[in-house]
Amino acid sequence: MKKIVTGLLVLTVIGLFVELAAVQAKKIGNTQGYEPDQPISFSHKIHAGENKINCRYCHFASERGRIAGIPPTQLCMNCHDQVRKDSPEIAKLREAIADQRPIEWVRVHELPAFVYFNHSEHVRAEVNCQECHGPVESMTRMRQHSSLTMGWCLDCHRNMGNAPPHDIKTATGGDCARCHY
Amino acid sequence: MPLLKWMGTMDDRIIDAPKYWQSIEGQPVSDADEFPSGFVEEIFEVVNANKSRREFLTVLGFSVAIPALTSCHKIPVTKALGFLNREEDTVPGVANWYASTCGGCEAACGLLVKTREGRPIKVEGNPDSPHSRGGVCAVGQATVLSLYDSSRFIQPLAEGQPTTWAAIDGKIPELLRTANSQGKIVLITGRVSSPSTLAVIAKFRAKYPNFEHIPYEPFSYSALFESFEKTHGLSAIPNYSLSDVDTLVSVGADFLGSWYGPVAFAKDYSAQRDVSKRKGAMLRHVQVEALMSVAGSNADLRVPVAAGDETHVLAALVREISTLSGRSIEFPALQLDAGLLTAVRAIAADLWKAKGKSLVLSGSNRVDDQMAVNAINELLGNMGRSVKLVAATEFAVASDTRFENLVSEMVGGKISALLSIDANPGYAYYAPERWKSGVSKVPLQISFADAPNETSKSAHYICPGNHFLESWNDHALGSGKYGLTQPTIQPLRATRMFQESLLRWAGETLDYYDFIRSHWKAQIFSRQRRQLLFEGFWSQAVHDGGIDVVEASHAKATFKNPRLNFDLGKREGLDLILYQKTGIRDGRHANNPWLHELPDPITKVTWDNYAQLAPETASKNGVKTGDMISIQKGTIHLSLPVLVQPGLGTNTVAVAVGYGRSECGKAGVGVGKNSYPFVAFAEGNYQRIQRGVQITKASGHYELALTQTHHVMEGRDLVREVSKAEALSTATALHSTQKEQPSMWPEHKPGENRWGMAIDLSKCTGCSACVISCQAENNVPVVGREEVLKRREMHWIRLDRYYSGNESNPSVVHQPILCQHCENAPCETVCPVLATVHSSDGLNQQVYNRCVGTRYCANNCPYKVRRFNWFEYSQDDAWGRMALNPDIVVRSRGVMEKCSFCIQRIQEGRLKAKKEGRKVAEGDFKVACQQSCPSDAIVFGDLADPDSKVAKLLEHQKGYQLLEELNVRPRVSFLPKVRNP
Repeated sequence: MKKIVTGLLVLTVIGLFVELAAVQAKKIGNTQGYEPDQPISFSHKIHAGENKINCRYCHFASERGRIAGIPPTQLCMNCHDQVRKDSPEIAKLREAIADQRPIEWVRVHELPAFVYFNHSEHVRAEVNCQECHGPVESMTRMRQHSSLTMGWCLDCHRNMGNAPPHDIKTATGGDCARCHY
Repeated sequence: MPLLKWMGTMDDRIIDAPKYWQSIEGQPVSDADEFPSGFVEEIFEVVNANKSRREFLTVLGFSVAIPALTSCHKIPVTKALGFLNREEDTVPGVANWYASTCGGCEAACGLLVKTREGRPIKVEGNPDSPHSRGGVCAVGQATVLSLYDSSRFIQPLAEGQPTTWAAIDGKIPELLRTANSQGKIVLITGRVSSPSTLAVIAKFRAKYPNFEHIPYEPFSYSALFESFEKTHGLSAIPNYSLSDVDTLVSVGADFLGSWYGPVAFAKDYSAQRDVSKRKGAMLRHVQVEALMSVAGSNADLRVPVAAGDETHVLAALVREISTLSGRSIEFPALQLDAGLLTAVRAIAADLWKAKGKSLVLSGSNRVDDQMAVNAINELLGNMGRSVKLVAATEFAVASDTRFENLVSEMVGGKISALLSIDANPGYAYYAPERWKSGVSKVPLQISFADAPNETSKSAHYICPGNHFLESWNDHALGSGKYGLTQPTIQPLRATRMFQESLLRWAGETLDYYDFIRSHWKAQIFSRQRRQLLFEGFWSQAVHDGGIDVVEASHAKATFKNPRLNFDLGKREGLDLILYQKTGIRDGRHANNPWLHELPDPITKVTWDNYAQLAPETASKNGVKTGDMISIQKGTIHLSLPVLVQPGLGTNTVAVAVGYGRSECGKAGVGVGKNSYPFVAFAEGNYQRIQRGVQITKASGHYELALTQTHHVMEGRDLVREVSKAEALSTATALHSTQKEQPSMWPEHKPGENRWGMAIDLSKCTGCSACVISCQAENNVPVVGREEVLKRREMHWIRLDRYYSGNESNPSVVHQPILCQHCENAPCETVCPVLATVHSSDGLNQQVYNRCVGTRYCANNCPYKVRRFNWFEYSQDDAWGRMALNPDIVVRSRGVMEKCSFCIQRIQEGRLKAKKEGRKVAEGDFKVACQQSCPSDAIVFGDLADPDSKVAKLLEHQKGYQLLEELNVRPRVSFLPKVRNP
């Protein structure tokens, strides 16, 4: 009897180990679903959803280079100098400018340093922001919609097929240093 | 304005967000120590069942590891800091380039500074700069790091206490007024070539009339500048140009290494030696010198002489040229060595054949020597051609006599105030005791130094100046050309351009920027015709980095026969020559670790200075490399390790200056020894060549950190040399002998591009600008002396230096070696994790995140170009990190790295082409080494494109590859060195 119990326990432990290693460990570094609190309760739902402000109005850097960037505080004040001046959240913006202290947003989408990802290339290829970032216009609090893992990136690239002006498949196949340098 | 934090500052706190993370068995995991309930009990049950401590630990070990492992799919929280108020041009992730002028030395080469998110990270040459034409030397490349020197002053100091500029501006003027009435106020600077700065000083003088401005250069050219007054009646600066020169003779002037403006020389030098382009003509370079200098290593004919004989050579040369020209130059008769005379006669004949298309240079600081050179150039018809005289009205050049007088006045208590910038006599003055006693008698000392140095140590007030990358300034380049320096970053700390301080204290309200504009409007704008309105003119000048359409005012120069004297007195003992190294120069860059770790182009020593001895001298004294000797002249002595240097002049000891700093940041303190005390003030100038020096063997041994200890090619033709005739012939017998050898690997499928490189050994001078450029571009770390001793230096590109011929006068060749990006790369086949793979465009890629640090690839590499991060070399200095290039990863410990053909630049170029809907073309990008090479020795491009420069070069001249017999099929080809006997 003792042997059976011991045997079952050992199997449980091994099974647990396998589950943890094989399944859970694969999720290392995967921050899908991350939805942190931000210093200012900025709602994409109100700005991008209800007011239909184009993503690229604030995240203009996405057209130019690697990073989409957090918009400068002054850009917010373009409208919020007048719009909802009395809201306590907007007051935080004004305080930041008065104190000459940048707002410390919590970064939601972050790729490891050894990954090269260029927004402008994808924007130029007319990949919709929502394809990777999910339904941002319905998010009250910004959330990481996709896993942003290498497999996820390659899935799209492999499925794209022949996209002009050249084949994306060959562009990224086997050339590790296209993204890792 | 607050210092903008670099985006992505890491916050080390780990924050849990239990609601949203994956958890073990549905339970939130907030802490590595917490296990899901029931788990621990199970472990103990198992353990109790076995009752063995060892088994308990084994099971516990496994079980603890897994939750720990899985709970680490949390990553530290990162903050993203956007701009508060973004400048219109600054887009995060996109680089901005600004034209400016280098402040690394006095040559004022034009720069294009690459900035990211408002801070400069890379310096490149400005192709529009009239004299440097896109070249920058190693020192210029390294200045981007010195901007982020954490030893820099952060605010003004009054008697060692932090203070504010307002307080300084309140206090100093009255102190200066007092000083003005009590004695003389003196401002010491470096050589000044900025007309606006001179105008500011004039304003200061107007306010405090009892004032003198004395420029000071420890390694001065004062004899050179004084000589023109004596021979041509003009107070002038020479502007040299090799663009039309066929014969060049340099007596001790290292014009490709550190003398006077190496970048400008290198450009024309390499163009004039391009045999194919010039259809057989080739500049002939003769170097007569004691030191084995960078220039000397490239000479067609090198004549090593004892240091004290350089003067005699000039004497003999003057005599020969005057005989050939029929115009006699007076000087007392001189006994010269017969062998030397024969050599000089031959040189003189060569020069005479190339009348009007020649140039003679001398590195001497004796006025008579420089007067002799002027006479020679005059008689050869070079004046106005390869040597142009620029009136010194817009310059303030160092005069050693004036500085000596200053020190005497200081000792005599006549100086009431000493202001200093870009000058460090506290370190470099040859009689430190005399300086100390003089300085102690100056009641008011103000230093504008940007970082602590030996002179600012005794200053009462530190009013720190800006780094040149934070400053506005202008430069007169001669012949109606002007350069501009514009800031590329807001001052990092509470520092202020020294010109602004002077303006404030002179009671002016204008800031220096407006002052420069008003000066340019009055003095320069009026002399040009291209722009009608000043604003347009100014914007264009700032955009271009300068202006060169101004009418030059040439003063008339009339040559008069000088009376020369070459008698240097009795000859005894050894000769000592002090020289500047290509990296450290006169010592001002001693706190720059890049320059310390830069292997000297000739000796390949890093991090030290030493006493060079010729092999004959060394064996006579029974010393070899690493043995300690004591050098003595009179009361001055210095003990240094020996380095046996083939080709050094007989009877000579050579020691570099610029080492042994005591007051600078931690990179430079205590590195090497200060050799400036050996300088002597004689004949009105600081002499760097001394006679009557004794050396005695001392006890002890010192390991010099050399990066190249193996000098032989082991029978392989790593460097191929051809004669001029062979270089022109289209026969390919001498060139690539690579037959198509069978390969067991399948051919790589050709991609859109085939990146390749051609390195012309005829053009490479060994200046090492590529090494620093690569280091700056690719975040290559510095490892320090101890690690270099273990052969762990990290430079991705190195210059191998080979000698051939006899030991007393070898031929030298420099060969840049970088990753050869072999098609059949031996490193790719042995990587167990496939961290190094071959790309479709021919690059051998190193994928840092896959690398586990086996180091098998480095073992297999026949060229030994792979570099391993043995330790966490990445900088933990918060300032130094700002110099990192954000486009390339910083490698951590345990990762292999190597030249990537600047893949980040290839990507940039490819993206640019993609956005424009076309293929990548020549000129879309340049790799770092190629861009910084002042001699254009490195050509990179697409071999698949028959119109590309590299394809054309290799097609006609057919370079060879290294170690062809290995059949690794490298993508880097070398063009053979052309000798011009």
